[in-house]
Amino acid sequence: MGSITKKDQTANTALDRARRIAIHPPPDPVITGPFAITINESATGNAYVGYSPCACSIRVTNTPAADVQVTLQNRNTAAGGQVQFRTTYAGAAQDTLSLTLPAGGAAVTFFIGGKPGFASTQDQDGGIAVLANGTSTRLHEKTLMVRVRKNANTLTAEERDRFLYAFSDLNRRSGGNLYEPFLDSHDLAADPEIHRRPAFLPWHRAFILDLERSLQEIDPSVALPYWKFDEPAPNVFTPDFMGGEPINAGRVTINETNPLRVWSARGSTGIARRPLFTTATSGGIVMAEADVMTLGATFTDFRIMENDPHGAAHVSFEGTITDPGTASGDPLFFMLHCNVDRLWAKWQMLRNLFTATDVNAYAPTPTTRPIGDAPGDTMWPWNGVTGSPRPSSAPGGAMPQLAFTSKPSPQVTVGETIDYLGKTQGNSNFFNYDDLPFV
Amino acid sequence: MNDPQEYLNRLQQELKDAEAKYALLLENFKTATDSAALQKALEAIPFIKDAQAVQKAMALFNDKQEQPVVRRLALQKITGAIGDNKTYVENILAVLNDETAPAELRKSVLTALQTLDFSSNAMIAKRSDFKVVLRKLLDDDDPELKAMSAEKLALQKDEYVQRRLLKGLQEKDESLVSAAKAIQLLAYDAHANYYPVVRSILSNEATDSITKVEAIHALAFDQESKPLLQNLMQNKTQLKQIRVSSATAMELGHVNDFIAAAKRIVLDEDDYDDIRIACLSSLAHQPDKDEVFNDDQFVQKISLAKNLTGIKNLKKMSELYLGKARTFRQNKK
Repeated sequence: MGSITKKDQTANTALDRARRIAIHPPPDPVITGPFAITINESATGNAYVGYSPCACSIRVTNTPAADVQVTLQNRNTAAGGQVQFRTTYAGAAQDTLSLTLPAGGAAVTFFIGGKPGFASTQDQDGGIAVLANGTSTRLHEKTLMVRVRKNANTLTAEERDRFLYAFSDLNRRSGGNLYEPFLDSHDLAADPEIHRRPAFLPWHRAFILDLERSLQEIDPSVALPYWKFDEPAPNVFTPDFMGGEPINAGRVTINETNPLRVWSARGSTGIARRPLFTTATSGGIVMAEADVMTLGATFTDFRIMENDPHGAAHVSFEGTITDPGTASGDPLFFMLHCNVDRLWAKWQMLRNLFTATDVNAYAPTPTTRPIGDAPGDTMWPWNGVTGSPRPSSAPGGAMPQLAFTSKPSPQVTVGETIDYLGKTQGNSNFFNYDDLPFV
Repeated sequence: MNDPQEYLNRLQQELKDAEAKYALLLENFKTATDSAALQKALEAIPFIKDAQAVQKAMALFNDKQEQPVVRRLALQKITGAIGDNKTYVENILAVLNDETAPAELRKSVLTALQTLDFSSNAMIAKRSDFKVVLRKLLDDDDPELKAMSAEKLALQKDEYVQRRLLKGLQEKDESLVSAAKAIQLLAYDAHANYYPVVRSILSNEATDSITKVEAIHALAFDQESKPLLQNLMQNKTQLKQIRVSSATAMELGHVNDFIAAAKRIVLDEDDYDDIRIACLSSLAHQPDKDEVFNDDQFVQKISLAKNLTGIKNLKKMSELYLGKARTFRQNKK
């Protein structure tokens, strides 16, 4: 629902902004040698990768007398933001990679993906180091961020604040006009298009990705966190994050420094939400994650999770999040749906179901709607189609695009969301969950 | 997770174990007969979708002689299956409408129907019937059912409940929920005609602070309330909650007036820390504006305050503000 992402342009502004949020010690100087590394087709600007492999290349930029033998490894092996290397997209992941770079300057391709369990906590805290082969001499470095969706309860204070600042910005910018499409696309008029149908899970996968990319236009170091609703989340339901225990008529308490204090949706101010469970010691009133995985071996079996845990998570509260027409007015909505999506992604991983035309992975039946469920159907509102059987207006615009890929496409189809992980090269939607590796 | 394949293998084994366990739990439920055994079986099983077991659970729910706890558990475990069956939806709606049914069971039904509102096509066909029952529940003896119904209707901008809520604010005997809650529910609809009544409640010195906070939020976009909100924001004799809420409302509804007042408060060392921090935080999070970030005097004073203050959050917000002002000015050059 945003414009086309101008990745490089926004990256530097947003990085500067992110650094203002918390004062860090200056980063280690980056060693620059006669090498050019591209990540996701770009040699400049800040780089962001997930767990799914992304294409890279390296070449020498001077004219050495002979081919150059180098080893690639992580810039900092003692911290987050680590990657693994592959020679081919689906090849074995390894912590280092030895390459021969032609003296003539031809590029050598390889692939990197975030190392599971070693995601970044800060922008550009990871990177690739180029070592002279067989030595520890560093010839060149390239920074990057391993950016994945994390459990909101485990975020560092700085990660949490970056997310809140970006989310609050989105809510405030242009008098709220940038956030309005996220309300209009999930209101009562949109309800029949997006709920109670096979495309419920694909549609919401695209919806939260749209929001995430809109946040990344503000601060590219932000990934949407998930509220793991079957576990206690004492760090989420606090005045510094999604709001603490309501002390009045059901309005969450928000600290003076938390920008969500000035939250507004459709003319309503603040966040009306009262949990019906003890947030510090219990999860929501939902089915446990392990049980969700047992709902069935086919998509038709699994998609009943739309009721529990999805619907059950929504009604684990009083407040705007409990009604389909108003739910997206509560910022928690997106963290709740991030976990719904993660559960689907985990179910897919456990059963290796990533092919859109495989009826076990996705079945567009039974449907009550003539269009919008088949894998090849484009999805409203990104397709801009209005009028029966689609809703009468299409808020926002096309799916925001990354500079190096067209997946999912501007007019995202149902099928494009199924292989979000990119099990097949070229399919990746370029988001990952911290506990779901590329395997 | 060092070895992703090993991690996946472990998760897949856990899934197999869980599936085997589920088969046993289902069998336990199918064979349970007396209330105690049924309760135990229902507590243990996470969901029921097997057709035969769903029928058994639905029969238990419908059985008025059965223990309420068993009926409630049966409902909870088959909510998804109920959503696939119009008759089942009608069945549970009838229990919600039955004043003689146990209140706890009716509350569980209401929660189940709210869940189904997200997920069931059969429920959608019954939405208008649901609304009829919800309106009737506004006069139920159970205050919790009354409040739950009022909220659900208010979220759907139901004019009937809006009229009842407004009347309750004017005549105490007619109130469905507390005044604070009534104002919050009315404010779910920016088009509900509540401004004059709520303004008069906020102006009344005798109104309690909880109700005042809700009134402040509800009046954020009311032009006629601006002087009242501005006064509350700046009045040092008001409680912190009232002042911070007023600052929030002013920022949302009358941003230019807010900026001017917020600057004065931030620089007033005699004012309370909480309101100064809230105002500075709001200024720091403003979208780029000359009057916020290009005010030399203000920037200098914040710079000085940052170095002198021992208040952690004031320092933190000062740094945030100054960083943004610096970038704003650089971009202007």
